[in-house]
Amino acid sequence: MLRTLAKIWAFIKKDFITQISYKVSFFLQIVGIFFSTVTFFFLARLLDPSASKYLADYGGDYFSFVLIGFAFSSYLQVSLQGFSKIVRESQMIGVLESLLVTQTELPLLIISSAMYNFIFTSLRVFVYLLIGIVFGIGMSGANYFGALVFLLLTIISFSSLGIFSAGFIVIFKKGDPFGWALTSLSWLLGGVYYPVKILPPVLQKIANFLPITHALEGMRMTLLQGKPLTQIFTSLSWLVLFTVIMFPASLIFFNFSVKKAKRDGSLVQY
Amino acid sequence: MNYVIQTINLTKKFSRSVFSRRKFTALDRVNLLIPPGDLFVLLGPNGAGKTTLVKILTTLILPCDGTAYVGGYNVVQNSKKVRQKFGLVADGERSFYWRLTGRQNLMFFATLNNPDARIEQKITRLAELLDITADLDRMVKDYSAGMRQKLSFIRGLLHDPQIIIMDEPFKNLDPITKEHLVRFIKEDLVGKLKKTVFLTTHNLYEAQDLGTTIAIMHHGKITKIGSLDELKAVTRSVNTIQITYTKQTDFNTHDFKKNTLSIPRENLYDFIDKIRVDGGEIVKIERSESTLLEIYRKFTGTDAENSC
Repeated sequence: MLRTLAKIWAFIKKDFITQISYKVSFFLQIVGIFFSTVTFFFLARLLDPSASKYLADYGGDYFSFVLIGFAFSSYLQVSLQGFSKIVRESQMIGVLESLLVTQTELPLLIISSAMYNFIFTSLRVFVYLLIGIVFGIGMSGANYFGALVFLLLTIISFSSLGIFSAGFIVIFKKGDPFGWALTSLSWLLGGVYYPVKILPPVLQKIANFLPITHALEGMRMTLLQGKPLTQIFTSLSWLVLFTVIMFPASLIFFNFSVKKAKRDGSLVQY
Repeated sequence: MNYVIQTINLTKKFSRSVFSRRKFTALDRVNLLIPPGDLFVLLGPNGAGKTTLVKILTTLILPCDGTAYVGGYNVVQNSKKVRQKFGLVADGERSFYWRLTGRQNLMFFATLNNPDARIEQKITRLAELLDITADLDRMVKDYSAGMRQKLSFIRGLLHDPQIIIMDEPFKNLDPITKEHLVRFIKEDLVGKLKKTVFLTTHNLYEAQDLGTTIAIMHHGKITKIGSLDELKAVTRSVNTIQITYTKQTDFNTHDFKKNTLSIPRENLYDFIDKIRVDGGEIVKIERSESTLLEIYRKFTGTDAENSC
């Protein structure tokens, strides 16, 4: 266990050192959060809260709605792009071979590689919420424990999708149809910029099969409305179901991809 | 006898693309037995299958047929155990994180290999041996190719493996760094530390300088294997005779010119008669030793890179 933690820590440290060595990029990312938050703030002023019945469930405020959607959807982004990006980058810069001959099993290598991205994304989400509070988001009655449960399930279920995506990259190197389809559908149907209820019934049904729909619903309900987990049981159940099925399935698929690449001799090619 | 590396009819075929059924054979029933402490050099032209063999031994790709054991473990069934047994020294040029220092890179890779408490002392000792101590705290992006290769050597040795597998370790290196690393392999790794070294190269001089055992690989097959002397002995039957003689160049001044020629053994007596008829004199006759280049040509039908 201690060895596993030491390995995860080694990856976090390595990625942090690499990140801060690009000082301007690091600084710009943080400043970028401020600009997008303020953009959403002014965009929200265009919408009359009373005019939108769709926002009523979330307190009627579009700024809070979109900020939570945008902030937490970055977990999906980092999961879907992060894992496959790590695999591809390691193939391209040439370190993948050196990593694979170490005494660390592949699933741990992949999960550890993504750890820093998740920590940095959490920091970004925190900054989003902090700036949001300064601009008037009310989270005084938030159910933080419930939000934490949703956050954990969000990260695991999104990671499963990311590991699937990385599996495709291992086989096809570039052009991951799974990640592409899922990202496009999630942005369109997952309720990032507008509530799912605004969509036609058929699309609402499809949206139910996307983890992001339930992740964002849960985060908004716990953070903005302070609802207990029992009142958002449907979203919670969907997310648990995704996690329980998708996480082991993604690891099995990733192992299959690696075995196939090892058979084809293409594991470290790009 | 226990062998640290053993391959039995090892075969690897590759598809030409993900969806293609057409295959080409990269390794064709390769059989190797490498005893502990050997400095084994696999010599072959580009595309001979050397890197494919290294990748199978290091568990990076799976064979289609046959078996391979490294450190007594099957590379397919016990890949985790196998990875404890070897250290890989590959091309150091692109196998490090360039924004990290040499020391940070070494500590990172060491952590992934379950290091013991003395890891920092090990890094210091190996850095001293390879004369890179002063540069350990510089970013790898500022390293020369030679320094990165030395770092690759240190990384391969940090978990104290029994076997060191090196895939073209001297590629792109200047002669001074190369000489330093050749000495390090012979004197320190094999001489003092008693490691088994498996090294691939397409360079004859490297093979000649290093190999206790040399295997020649061509088109995925081991075409010949043995010590340098054994390989020379095999080709001795086709050896040429080197003959040095004088030849009269000007009959008026009685000027003579000394010539040396290599001729096939069976033509020796005819040639001697001819020199006598021309008024020349035999100075020296000796059996010429096969060079590794000749051996290489005989067993691959190609020319290896024979530059330093």
